[in-house]
Amino acid sequence: MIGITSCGYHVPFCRLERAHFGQAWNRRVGKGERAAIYFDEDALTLGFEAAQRCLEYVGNKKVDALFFASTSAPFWQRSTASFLAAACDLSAACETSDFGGSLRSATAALRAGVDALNSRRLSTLLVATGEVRDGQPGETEEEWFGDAGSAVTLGRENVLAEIMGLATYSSDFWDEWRRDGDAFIQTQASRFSTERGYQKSLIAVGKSLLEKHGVQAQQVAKVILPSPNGRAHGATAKKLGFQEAQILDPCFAEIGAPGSAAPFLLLAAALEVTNPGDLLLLLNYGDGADGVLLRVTEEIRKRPLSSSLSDHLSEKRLYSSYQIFQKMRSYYKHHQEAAELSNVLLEKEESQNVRLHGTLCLRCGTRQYPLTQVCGGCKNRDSLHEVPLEHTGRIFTFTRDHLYVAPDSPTIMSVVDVDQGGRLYLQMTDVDPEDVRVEDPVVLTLRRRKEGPTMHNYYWKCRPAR
Amino acid sequence: MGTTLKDQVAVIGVGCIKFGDNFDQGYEDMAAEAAYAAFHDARIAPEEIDAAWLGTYSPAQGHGKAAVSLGDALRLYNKPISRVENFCATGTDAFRHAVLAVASGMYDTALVLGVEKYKDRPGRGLAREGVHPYYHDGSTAPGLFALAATRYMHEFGLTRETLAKVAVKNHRNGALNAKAHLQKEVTPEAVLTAPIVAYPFGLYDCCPTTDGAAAAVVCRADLAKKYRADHILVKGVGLSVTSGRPFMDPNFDYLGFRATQNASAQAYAMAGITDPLKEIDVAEVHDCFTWTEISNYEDLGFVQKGQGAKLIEEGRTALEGDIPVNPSGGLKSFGHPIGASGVRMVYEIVTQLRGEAGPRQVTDPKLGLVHNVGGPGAVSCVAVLSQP
Repeated sequence: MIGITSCGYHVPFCRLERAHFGQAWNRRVGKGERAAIYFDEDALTLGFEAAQRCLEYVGNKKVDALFFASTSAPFWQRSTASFLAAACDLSAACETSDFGGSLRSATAALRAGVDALNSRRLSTLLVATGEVRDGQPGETEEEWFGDAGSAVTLGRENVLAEIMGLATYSSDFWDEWRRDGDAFIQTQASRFSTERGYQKSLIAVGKSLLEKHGVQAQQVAKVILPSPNGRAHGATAKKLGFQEAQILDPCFAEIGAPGSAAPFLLLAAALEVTNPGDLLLLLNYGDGADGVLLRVTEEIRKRPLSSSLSDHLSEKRLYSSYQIFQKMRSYYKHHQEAAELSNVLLEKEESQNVRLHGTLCLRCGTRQYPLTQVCGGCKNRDSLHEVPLEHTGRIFTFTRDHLYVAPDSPTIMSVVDVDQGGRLYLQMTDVDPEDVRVEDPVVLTLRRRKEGPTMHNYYWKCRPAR
Repeated sequence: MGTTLKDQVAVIGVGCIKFGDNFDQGYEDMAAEAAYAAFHDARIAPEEIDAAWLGTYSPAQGHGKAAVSLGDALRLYNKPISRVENFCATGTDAFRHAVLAVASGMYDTALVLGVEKYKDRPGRGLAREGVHPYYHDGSTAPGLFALAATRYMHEFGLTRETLAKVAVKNHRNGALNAKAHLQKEVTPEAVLTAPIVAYPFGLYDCCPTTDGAAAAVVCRADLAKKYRADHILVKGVGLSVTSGRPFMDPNFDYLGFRATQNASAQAYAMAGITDPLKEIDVAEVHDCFTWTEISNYEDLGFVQKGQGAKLIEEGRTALEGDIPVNPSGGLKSFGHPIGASGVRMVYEIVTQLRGEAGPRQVTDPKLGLVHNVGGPGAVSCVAVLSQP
């Protein structure tokens, strides 16, 4: 049996109410909010947070491949998957691939992953996605798009949802696109695009998948479609024969349309409300369509579910204006924080800076960071071992620093004692500055730091445990 | 430890310029003014100086990371000169080096010069140099000390109201000092309602960024009378370096600074001090932030850990108290040009011990203490001075 063994999502802590777009551009807008990155987030960091949720469940020991899918990866040339593999502390022998170019990139990665598992080349695959979606300022898409990350692991053991079948449909339809060099997504959105693009492709792939497996629409527990505008998914699902109750809420009012991040995010949401034996039909659109038919297994009952998507979405900060939303998206496009970092330093320190390894002294038991040649506890040099540090901890002390130049002052600087040992000095993110206390539990997260003249750089921050 | 240098070295002259936003003075202008004031005070000619130590943390623009900035400022060439850079202990450590060199017998006289020019730099606060791109990203000087203050307050229940009393005291002293950067008194209300710089520190909990220079001339104690009858003797010095990454040290309790505890223990042992609270008559300690002064009371052994607030609450460290601390106004009010500060503190203690401090003179001091700590808590240097 091949299937989904874990899933995770990360919706940015920050949102902008759509009403602010109306105020900024003096026009009618939709209801609800869109998810919006903070200045330190991008497609890679959103994907990392989601991947981290999967690895909390399945661990990173058995993962032998990491695929990353996005239409908004931070580099045109430089593998996000390879960086994430290091950040997830996967072995250098693992397989990494990047998928992009289409909103179908996530399901394209899934299709490739299923083939690799079927061929027995891979045993456990992590597929992460992340999207930062920029519509033309002032246009409807700016308000409809959303930012998010999602991830699944695929494998043969402890499968939560078996993959029964796949289908795909290719179409060279001009719906949304971004030329090389375009800062914003181009569209010719209209009823024509919805009907001849979105609806036509999804119905084609949905029908063929159901027919191939002899499944009637009423046998499916949930049909999962990303929605470009909060409406089109419903009409399309109904044309496929589904009833309202079968259609999964695409969270358009809370997130918006998060592109390649949508399929796994919504699949994860569906797995929170389904039971063993349920059939799920996941459809994804973009220059054609992909379909995945899944059956939920008994394993779903064993999965500890500490929080749901609605819990995750309820933890948020609403940006107070359109200007702040824009500032957070563009800050690092206009501000450099550092001179170029040397690739010698980046290579030499990868295990501590990216993999978050520290030194464990076997003599006195002190875990310390960064890697050291001499134990800070007992001065011993002979019993030192490189070990991964935990990604959770507690605030030992902190300050709210208004002097440090940052796009969102004050900067919370915290000293964090990580669980099992090791102490880190980290900026804190995704938090109300007035709501930080000594001893608060935190989670480590990877964020954009030290933007250089030609490089995007990443280092750890912490955020409240949620 | 080697042989003690107690009573072997004398301070025969000191000089200090007006600290502040010295927009009309460059690095060399300040260096020359302070050095020649010390030469004049010591009644010594520049060519009689055998060696010199320069305390400068951030080299002036165009001066480089060497001792040439002292040589060029004073046109003092073909002499052994070293530049010392040791975080906020830079000035006192430069003094310590000169004292050690004279005590060794290598030189009869030495100049110590501390200079720092900050107000010709762009940006806010103290420029951070030589830091790791990630590990120190987000740190500022107030932010780093605030980490300690937050933990201390969590542990001992200290409040911002008590911190404010340090600012009020030191501003009161500074208002009496014509060379201080901020010569004005502040009220507790003003301290508590000022904008936050790095919680728990507001604007008045922080020392300013200041330009300044100070100098001292030291010589062999047995030759001191040749220059001045009322010279001051060096009783002891101490320097301690601990981790510059306290925020990554899992064994650090963040309740005070080990470097200060160690450096003062060294200096006290050399000077024969066993009860610092009783024996020390006047102290210039490193009050970069209000909390630092309270921790210093403890780390310097005046009181037990956690009891520092009592000294300020009971007024014992005020000008009229039994252990006046920072009669100059301290870094808080006098200003803190890093490399100049330690030498400026030597200037203040020498002036106090000579009884020449005017309106801020403490009553009949015999033994005085100079203390710097930086890093925060990574480096501390202490010197004990006395009347002969």
